[in-house]
Amino acid sequence: MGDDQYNYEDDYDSMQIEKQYSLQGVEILDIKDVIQEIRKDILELQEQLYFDEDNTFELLMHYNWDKEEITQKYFTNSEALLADLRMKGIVNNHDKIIFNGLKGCCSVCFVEGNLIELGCTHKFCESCIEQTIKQRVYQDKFLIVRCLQNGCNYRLPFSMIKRYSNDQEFENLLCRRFVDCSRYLAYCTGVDCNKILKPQYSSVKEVTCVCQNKFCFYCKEDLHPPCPCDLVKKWLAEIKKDEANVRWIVVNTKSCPFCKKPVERSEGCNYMMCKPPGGCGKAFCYICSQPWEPDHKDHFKCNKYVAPTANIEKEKEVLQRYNFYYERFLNSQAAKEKAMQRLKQIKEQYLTSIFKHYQFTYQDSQFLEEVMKELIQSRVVLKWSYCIGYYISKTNQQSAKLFDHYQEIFEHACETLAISLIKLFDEIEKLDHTQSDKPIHEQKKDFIEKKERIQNASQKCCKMRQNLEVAIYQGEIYM
Amino acid sequence: MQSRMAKRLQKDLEQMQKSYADQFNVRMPNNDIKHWIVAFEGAKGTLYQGEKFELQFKFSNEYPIESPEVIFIGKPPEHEHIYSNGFICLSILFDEWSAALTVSSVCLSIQSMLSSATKKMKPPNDAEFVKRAAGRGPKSFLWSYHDEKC
Repeated sequence: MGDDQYNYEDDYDSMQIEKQYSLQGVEILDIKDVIQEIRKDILELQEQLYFDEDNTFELLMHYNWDKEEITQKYFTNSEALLADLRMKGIVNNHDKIIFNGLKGCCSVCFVEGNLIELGCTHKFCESCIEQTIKQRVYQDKFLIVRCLQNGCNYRLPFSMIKRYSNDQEFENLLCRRFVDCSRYLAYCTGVDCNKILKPQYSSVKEVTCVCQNKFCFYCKEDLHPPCPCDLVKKWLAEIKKDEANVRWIVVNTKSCPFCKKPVERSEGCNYMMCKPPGGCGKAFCYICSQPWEPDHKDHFKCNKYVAPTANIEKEKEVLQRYNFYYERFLNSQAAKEKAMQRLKQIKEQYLTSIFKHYQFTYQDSQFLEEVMKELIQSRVVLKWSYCIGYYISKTNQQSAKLFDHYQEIFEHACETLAISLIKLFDEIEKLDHTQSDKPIHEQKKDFIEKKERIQNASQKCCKMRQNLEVAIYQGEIYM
Repeated sequence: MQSRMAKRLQKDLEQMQKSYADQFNVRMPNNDIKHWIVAFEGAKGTLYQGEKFELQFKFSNEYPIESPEVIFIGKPPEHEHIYSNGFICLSILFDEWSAALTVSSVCLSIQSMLSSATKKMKPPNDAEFVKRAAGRGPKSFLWSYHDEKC
């Protein structure tokens, strides 16, 4: 089984573990903490290989911070490794750098003055070296700076790059590079959040940052239960390509044989004009794509008639299928956002109103928050279930049937819950504006009835959601 | 105090006028030190012998740390690595730029690129590229070099 293939059992386990550790199982780091880890890595490797700090850094950068790979290669054949690295300009004799005492004309700015001689013996003035480093680090976001001489492979030592660039900028870049290379770290995907997350177990998949942003640690997308990461990736790529649009053009239009622009056929006849201003103004036959003038001119004589091929019908079917799932995917997303607004309203408005109108305290009405969270979670699962639905029906009929069944009852339960909630919210909002003519004890009874209905609906929704999730995680439904 | 860019361009100009006056003619159409036109002729004994070309150099304040923007203006030479809009596919103008390169070394590189051509032809993706490039500068592209020499 390849690395990128999905293992539902693992995932099911991780779901179990994550339930226990979702809060305490993730360490939240700052750039400073990561820089500490980098220092540790450099020191460790330095001691193992007897390298200086600069070359150790170059080595780690070159091998994407994979210490095991470096030591393994080094201890297999250190001579060959070093020869190869020297050729690439990665391991250098930085001891040879001369900082003081040299005078001459800098070959970059052509100004006479003090020069620095680099390990490759090329000489430049300090200001030109400094400016080059700054340009490379700030503008190009690179941590590797080559000698300024045309064609020279020599890399400026890490300590020199650090000295001449702004500390913070340098550390930001270094940290970003290190985190990108690491399997155990990830930047929070939240807006303007610079925290770095480090789960304590590799099985932790769904993570929450201190900024409250939640994301999937494996694929760095928003949470997507119960959909596996590889499908999410495929699905998002599909949406991005906007294939539907392209497919529509393929199915419903023909390219003009003269200017190759797509022309839509609006009426039934075979005379097609590529209309200006968009088109070229020439006419052709819809069926055979031959120019109308001077020889065609007849609607019926086209002997090259080809009935809409099976291919076009298939394209149409594929398009419709995609649109079907995509539309429902988007609807669930919208419903989830609506539910999140409602959750906010509950906290800011409804709980107070409930106390005012029904004289129920926070303890009696707190269930609303719990239920709303269940609804939000269900909307997310429902949303991603359409992604699974889109792919599953193509591959496995048996599973598809089972999936449809689970999804259908889950969706029904989810809608029932949403409707029961809306009824209560409408009632509360009505009471905010007009006095009820019912006596208070009847109102209270009403509310308790509604509460029970909502709690039952929520329990059912939760159960149906879990049934679907477990069926997927345990492999009862598979693709 | 003059900036590094201005001082360096002064030196570049001196070099062009002292050592290469017979090959390259430099003018600054707007009296702007950051905008040069370099005129030259195709070298004798090459496919471009006698043809007149003009290169436009635009320098940023970061020159020579940052590479200049160099394109052909007027009718560009018909060459495998020169697009009809004047863009030049030459690695030293982009990724391989070195601060130690000068205007004259760039001009010489371009001339030698022309001189080594064995047949006149446009780049394979010329039409498509020129269309895509409309309104953009050469430095906004990620260039993939058609061959090692370029």
